[in-house]
Amino acid sequence: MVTLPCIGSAIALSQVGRSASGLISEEPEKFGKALLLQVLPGTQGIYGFLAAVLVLQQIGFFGEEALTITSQTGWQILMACIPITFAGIISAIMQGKVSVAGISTLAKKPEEAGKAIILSAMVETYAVIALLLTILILNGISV
Amino acid sequence: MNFPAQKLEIIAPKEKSEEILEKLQLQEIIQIISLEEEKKESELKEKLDLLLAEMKFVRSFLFNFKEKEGFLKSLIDSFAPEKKKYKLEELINLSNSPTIKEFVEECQKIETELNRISSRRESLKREIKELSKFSGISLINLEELDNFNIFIGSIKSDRKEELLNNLKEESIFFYIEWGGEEEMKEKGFYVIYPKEEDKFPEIMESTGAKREELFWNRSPKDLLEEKREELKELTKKEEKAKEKAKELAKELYKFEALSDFYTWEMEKIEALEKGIETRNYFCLRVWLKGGEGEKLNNILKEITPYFLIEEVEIEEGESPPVFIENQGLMQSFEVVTGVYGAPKSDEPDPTPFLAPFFAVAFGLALSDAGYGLLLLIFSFLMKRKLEGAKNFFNLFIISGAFTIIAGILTGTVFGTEVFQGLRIVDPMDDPIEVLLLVSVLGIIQIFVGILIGFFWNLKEGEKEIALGDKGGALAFFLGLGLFFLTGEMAVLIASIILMMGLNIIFSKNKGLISRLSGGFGSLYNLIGYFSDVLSYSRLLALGLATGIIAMTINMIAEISMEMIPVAGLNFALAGIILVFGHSANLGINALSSFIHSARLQFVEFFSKFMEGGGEKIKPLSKQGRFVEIIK
Repeated sequence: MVTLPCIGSAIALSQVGRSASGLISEEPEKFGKALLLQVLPGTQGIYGFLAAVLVLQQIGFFGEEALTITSQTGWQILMACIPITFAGIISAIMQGKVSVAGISTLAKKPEEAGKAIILSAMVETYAVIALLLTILILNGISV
Repeated sequence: MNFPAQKLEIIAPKEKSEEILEKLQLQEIIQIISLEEEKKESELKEKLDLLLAEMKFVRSFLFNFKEKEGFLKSLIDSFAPEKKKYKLEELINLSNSPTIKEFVEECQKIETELNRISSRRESLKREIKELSKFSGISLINLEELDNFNIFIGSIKSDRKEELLNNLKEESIFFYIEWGGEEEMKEKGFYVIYPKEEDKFPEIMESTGAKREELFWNRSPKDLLEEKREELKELTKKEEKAKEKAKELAKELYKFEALSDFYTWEMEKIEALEKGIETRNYFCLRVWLKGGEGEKLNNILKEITPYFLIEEVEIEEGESPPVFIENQGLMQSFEVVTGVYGAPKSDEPDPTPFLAPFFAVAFGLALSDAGYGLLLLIFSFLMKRKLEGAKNFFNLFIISGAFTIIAGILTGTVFGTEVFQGLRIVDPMDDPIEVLLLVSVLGIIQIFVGILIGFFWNLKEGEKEIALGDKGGALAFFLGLGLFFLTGEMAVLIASIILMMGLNIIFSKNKGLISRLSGGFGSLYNLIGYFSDVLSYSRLLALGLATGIIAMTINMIAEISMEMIPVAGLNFALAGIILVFGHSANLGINALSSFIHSARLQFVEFFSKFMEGGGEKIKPLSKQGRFVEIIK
């Protein structure tokens, strides 16, 4: 389930990537900034991965032996993953759209690229909050 | 500090205009305001236009032949392009050098040559494609015979059999020779048939074969070879021309420099055009960079005694452009303000206020002593290499230092817990404690923001906003602070009532009801403050993200070391995983930390005392795209 944000990030990155290559074919010197705009929606994928690692740690995957968990805790852990799962995938795709718009800002007014980056990062706020929620809930589940 | 510009008119003798503008351009203190819309034509301008076009041509032509830069170099260049340093005299000498003209002509010659080669090659390729359909035909004699028709034709390969069968069915007498290779979709042929076979054209048509209007005096095979040879020759010629262009591209920097130089010359002419002139004098309307009055006076005095500087009243609704300047380390935080944009002329410069909060927020968001140290060292090295981006890297040196502190306090170094000596909180075990900590940071910053707004409104004479709106909010935050310290609910309630009271008393509205509704409306602000404070929780999430991913990288390295039994190889693999993993994690999280810390300033902090949207002054200057003038 926590791979959904990764899928979202991948979709968003490909969208931004496509419009960025359009720009780069005309002005290759803008590569650095375009790359920055492209990687922005990638964070959600990392957040998903992060949540996965936390869950694995919680169930003792990395320990000497895996803990046996009851189905009740299993459900709890599943529920704990819901915030980052859905906020992750949707915010990644939406952030990708803002980044695509940012690429056109970069094309027309390269000196304002910083603002485009901030605008795109605004969307990420909700993925961050969702991640925080997931972490807090996971922390509260005793295995 | 925020220095709003002054609106002035400068009047001076026309014969000194070039000298005056040159000095002003070097000093970068005025921005020209247009008095005259109409553009004038002049010989000098035409000459410059031509030169600029030539430089542009050379730049774009030679750009493709420039030595390729490394990935890292081009990445850095796109953020902070490296500028070559020149003395002004050097540029003037360069522009007068006779070799420049020759060089441009040489470039034009090569370009024409390359264009010719590429168009000839295209037509050759077409011809070769056409000819290869007939490549097998040995004999070409198209002279008409009395009793026979002879011609060349072509047909789709899959209908070849059909044609032959049809001809056979009608028992027509003919001789045909086929060309082209087995896999070709179309085949050429050479056919001879008696003139009385009048059904022949009909059958040909029915199978889609067509007669080609081609005439050769030699066999297609020879012709093909000839064309292929020519193609080879062309490629050789092209290589040679490209080699030459590559050689020329080594001098590209000269043309970049001249591009800048001619652009400055053009700007001076255009500056004069924007003003008005009499027979002997010229008048320019300008924005003078804040606080540079004396400098302007001195520049003019040095050149001529006959000048006049007059202040012009600022029109209603017109906002003077601003100039932001800070001293010392504060200067590097202008990078953060710069992303948001300049404050208005009547707003404070937020840079010194945001500096401590930004650094602390960045430190908390990255919160790993090892990463902080790496960031610091990296920025330090980069700063020495790229002087143009000094402020940018200084910002990261400071932020790196704060990251080290945050990392020590949370006890994380490269995702490990090797150093615990000064740990005060473990974010993994006590996230709630860290959440409280970042919320307190948020409350303090928002309080400071309102405080700045309070004093600024007072200074600008907006007493009602200062005492009512800002004063009320301050009362609430003081009450909140006392509530945290004493735990007395009554203090908090009293402060909220005080806030509403201040809003009612100091209101711009006259009527009682609108005053009252304003007072109760201030309660709504509390929700805003609450969500502002919650927004700081991102720092916890970002800090955890860095830490956990760093931990995971260590874990993967450890596992891979255990999995490979070969000593040496396992160390190498673990080393690669550690180096790449941690650099990628640092890169991504440093970016996130920067963006999110900046956002906290822009959205949560700035909104308390400024709107922004001011215009930064763009002085007439000798700031080049490619070169930097050493003064």
